[in-house]
This record gives sequence, structure tokens and C-alpha cells, in this order.
Amino acid sequence: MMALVFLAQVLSAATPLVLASLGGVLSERAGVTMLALEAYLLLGAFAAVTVGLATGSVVASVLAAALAGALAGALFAAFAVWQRASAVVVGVALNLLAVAGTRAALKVLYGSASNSPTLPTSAGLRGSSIAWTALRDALTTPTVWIAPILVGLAALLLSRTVLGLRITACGEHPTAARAQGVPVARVQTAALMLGGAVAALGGAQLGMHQHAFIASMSGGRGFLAVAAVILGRWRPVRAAVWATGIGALSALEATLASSGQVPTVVLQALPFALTLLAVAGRSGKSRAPAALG
Amino acid sequence: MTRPRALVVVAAAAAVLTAMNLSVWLAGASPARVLALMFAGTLGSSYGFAQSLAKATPLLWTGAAVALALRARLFNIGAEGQCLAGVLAAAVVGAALPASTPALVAVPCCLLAAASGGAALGGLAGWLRGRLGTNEVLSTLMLNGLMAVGVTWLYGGPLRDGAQVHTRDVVAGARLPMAGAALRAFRGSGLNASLLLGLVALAAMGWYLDRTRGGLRIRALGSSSGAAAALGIDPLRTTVRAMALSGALAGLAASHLVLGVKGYAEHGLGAGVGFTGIAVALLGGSKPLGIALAAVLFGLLAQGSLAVNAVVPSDALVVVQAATLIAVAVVGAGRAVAR
Repeated sequence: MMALVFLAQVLSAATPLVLASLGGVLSERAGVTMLALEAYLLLGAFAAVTVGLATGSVVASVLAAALAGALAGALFAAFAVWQRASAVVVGVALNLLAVAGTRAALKVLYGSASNSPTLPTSAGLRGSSIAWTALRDALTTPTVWIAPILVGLAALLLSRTVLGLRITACGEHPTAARAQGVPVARVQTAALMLGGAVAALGGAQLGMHQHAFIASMSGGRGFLAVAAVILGRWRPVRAAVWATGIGALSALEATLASSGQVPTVVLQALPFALTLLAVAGRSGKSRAPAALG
Repeated sequence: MTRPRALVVVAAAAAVLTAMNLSVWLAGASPARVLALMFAGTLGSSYGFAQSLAKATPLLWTGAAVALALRARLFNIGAEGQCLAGVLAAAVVGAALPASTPALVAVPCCLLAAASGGAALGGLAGWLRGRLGTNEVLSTLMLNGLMAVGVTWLYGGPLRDGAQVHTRDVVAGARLPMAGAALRAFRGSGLNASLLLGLVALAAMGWYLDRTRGGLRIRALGSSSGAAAALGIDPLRTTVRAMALSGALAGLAASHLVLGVKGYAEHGLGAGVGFTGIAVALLGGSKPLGIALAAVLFGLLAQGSLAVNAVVPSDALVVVQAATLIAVAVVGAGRAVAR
């Protein structure tokens, strides 16, 4: 039974990280440093929950999150690609914008700056045991299924399609790509919008899992996802494996915290500490897309 | 391609104003009334003015921190965590001193602790960068996360002072003089001697970078690897030094937060100060005078957003802050202020 609960928690905890890191891979492969994953997660969660509350439709929630992410990606491209502002600064600014913007919007829409009303849950589905309920909750969230499919599709996109090759060309050698007639800025914009949409789906998972939007609910996951991108050497599948590993750590945190045997602070610090160690340990071996700063 | 700079600056300012009015309007308030309230709450009274300067003080420190690293072409996103480390160190050392410690001993001890706390964290990121090639943006982001988790636990648990959810008060001798004690008009505001210390540190930073050998090395690291090699610079040592100095400046924001305003450390104290410091450094062009002006601007904005909190959620004005950051980055595009 413990194993089932843990499996459910891993699925729920890894999905936002996998989707956010995939969004990061798509953006960075096009040669744009992507630190705004935290913003995408928050915006995706906010869009999914507000639309979910308004329509009651899961499909609409997921689509709203993807749309919000694509728009945020377009905004990122407007500044970082078309105006050639520093992508690091744009990323930091978008994160600030998303934290404050969603909190202000919560206050205006629902009268509370800390959390939204809860999404209705299908009461009839409540199972007999906690373990089955947890597992069913995880498996009936569409983003849990969407994540691995998108990872596979993105891997194919980058390695097998013309657009994928163009994205990689922009990331490796934009000048040569331009000489070959690749519209670099447009390809980068497309990659950023795609990346934003995918990462925001990770936010939808967060919101749907908690059945509400809570201010700053991304809680640093966007930064852990950035680490997964680098640890996965900018490859979709490898980044997803690292993201799942980091997600499993968070799930371990939830499981062990309820058992009370290990201090919570150690468990909360673990993802950051281990990620730092992993990144430091593998620094020499990874090679970033050449056009990244 | 060079841009007509004046045009871009005007466009950026217009964009910021539009973002502000739009967010105020979306929040359901009248932009004119909000602006009037903001003015009354900041420049309109001596208390508001002092409070604005108080809000600017920690930004002066973190702005200087980010700027120093930028001059070496290192992006210290970790001023946030380094500031938290400084707050923790200053509060712990300040509370551990004997109650009768004179200010001449207590203040330097606490300042040293704050600087060391920040320098340790910054220096670690510098060492990882210089020795292993670990991207400093990433390592400092992880260290930010670690510090945030760590201090939340410490302040709510082991360092908690009985029923209070904060650390024990620092000894009286460790407190910096408040402006309100000297000037009646500033009474009740958080303005304290940390502002003067910060201005001195900013001037010292400018002098160090432009006039000393150590500063030359740091700038050479930032200009190109060729220049650094030609000067016979040890990249590891210089990277560690730049990041440690940067971290020390960020940690010294605790002089305002702990030794000035609060007298103790608590959860959330110093949160956001490091990230805003990035905006201050970029807006200020990484130069001392520019940083001071940018810090005051953001101080006015922060105090102004509190003054209008009843009408508009103060978060709506963080949106303005983010818009400023982006506008600055757009205006600065092409200049090598940051990668």
C-alpha cells in the first residue's frame, strides 16, 4: 500500500518538473537561456484553475494553461529575441511578474491574495482506501499522461523534423543558420512559444493536483527544472529522467514527512542540495548549445 | 546596428508607465488617484521620504553586490540567498554577544558576521565556477533555495525565541543609530545608519574596481579571457574573490534589516531584496552613482506601493518593477552589461 501511495506521489510530483524541463529544453536548444520556467508554471497553474473554476471543464483548463504559456513565451521572445534584451534578465523579470501578477489577480478575482476557491472534485470517485484514491487521483489527471507523450514527441521533433533541425541550428550557430536562409528570430520565437506552452502544462498539473491555485505554488520547481535541463544535456528524454529523479525526491519528502522519522528541513533541502551536487559534478561533461551565453 | 538611445529610453519609460496604469486600472482603481496617493506617501511627507530611503537601503547593498559580479561578467542571481545568509549570521552573532558589549565592538563584529555569511555563499559559487566550470546562475539559484529552506526552519525551530516566531534580539550595542533619534521629522521611520554605510561601501567599490590591482583583475576577467591571460591573472582565484566580495555586499544588507530596523531575524526578512538588487544594478549601469539613484527609485516605488495598498494590491506595483527591469534590459541590449 505504501508503494502505491509513493508511486502516485512520484507521478504527481514528477509531472510538473518533467513538463517544465521539457519547455526549458525546447527553448534552450534554440539558443535562448531560459530561466522563466518558474513563471510558466505559475501562469499555467493560474490559467488552469481560473478556467477550471469558470467552466468546470478539464479540457478547457489544460488548453488555457497551454495558451497562457504560449503567450508568455511570445512575450519572452518579443523582448529577448526581437529586442535582443538579455535573456537572463527577461527570465528573472518574468518570474517576478508572474509571482506578483498572479497574486494581484487572485486578490482582484477572488478577494484573497493567498489562494483561490477549490476546484470541485468528482465526489463519486472517492475510493475505499487512501492508496487507491491517491493513485486514481494521479492517473486521472490528464497532464500525467500528456507529459511522457510530449517528451517522446519533442525528442522526435528535435531529431527528425525540419523545424527541429532549424531549432538546433539556431542554438548552435545562428550566423550560419541565417546564411542558410533560416529565419532565426522566427524559429526562436516558435521554440519559445512551444516551450512556454509545454512548461505551463506542468503548472496545470500543479493546480489540478492541489485542486486550487495557491500564491507562489511553484515553490522553486522552475529552478529545479532548469537544473534538469542542464543535467539532461539539453535532450528531452534525459532531462525528463533527471526531472523524474528530482520529482521522486520530492515525493520521498512527502512520504517521509508524514512518517515523521526524518526532519522535514532535510527533506525540503534535499532536492536543492543534490541538484547542486549533480550539476557541479557533471559540469565538465556537458556541452551547452553554442549560442547560449 | 546602433539604436537611437534617447528614443529607446523614452519608449521604455512610456512602456513602464503604461504597465503601471494598466495594472492599476485592471485592479479597479483610478490611476490619477493612485499616483496622488503614492506621491503623498513618499515625497509628500518627511516620514514618507525617510521610509522610502529606508526601503532603498538594502537595495543599495544588493545592487552593489550584483554590480560587482557583473563587472567580472558573473551573473550573481544569488544575492537573494547571500542576503539571507548575512541576516542569519548577523542575528546569531548579535544575540550571542554579552549584553554589555559596547557598540564599537558589537557593530563591527556583526558587520563582519553578515559579510562573512554572504561571502561564504558567494565564494562557494565562485569556486564551483572557477574550479569545475559550474554555471554561477544555476549554482546560486540552488543556494538560494537551500538558504530559504534552511532559515525558515531555523527561525521557526532551533533559533526561535520562546513564543515569538523570530530569533533572540541582538544586544543593544549592536543596533545601528536610527535617523529618527537624531531628526524629529524622521521619527518612526526605519531609516538608519546603514544607508550611510551603504553609500560608503558603494564609493569604496567604485574606487576598488577602477583604481586598484584587485579591481583591475576583476574587470579583466569580465572583459575577455585574452585580457585576463595577458595580465597573468589566476581565473580561479579572481572568480572566487569577485563572487565572495559580491556575496559580502549582499550579506551586509543585514546591517539595515537586522542591526537597523528589526533587531532580530525572522522568516521572510530580506526576501525579494536580492532579486530587486539585480534590477538596481542593471538600471544603475553597474556604476556607484547609478546604483544609488536606482536604489532610491525602487525605494520610492516600494514605499509608494505600501501607501496605496488600500486601493490597489501592492503586488500590482511589483508588476511595474518587473516592467522596469525588462525596459532596462531592452534599453541596454547590445551593451555587454550581462550575458
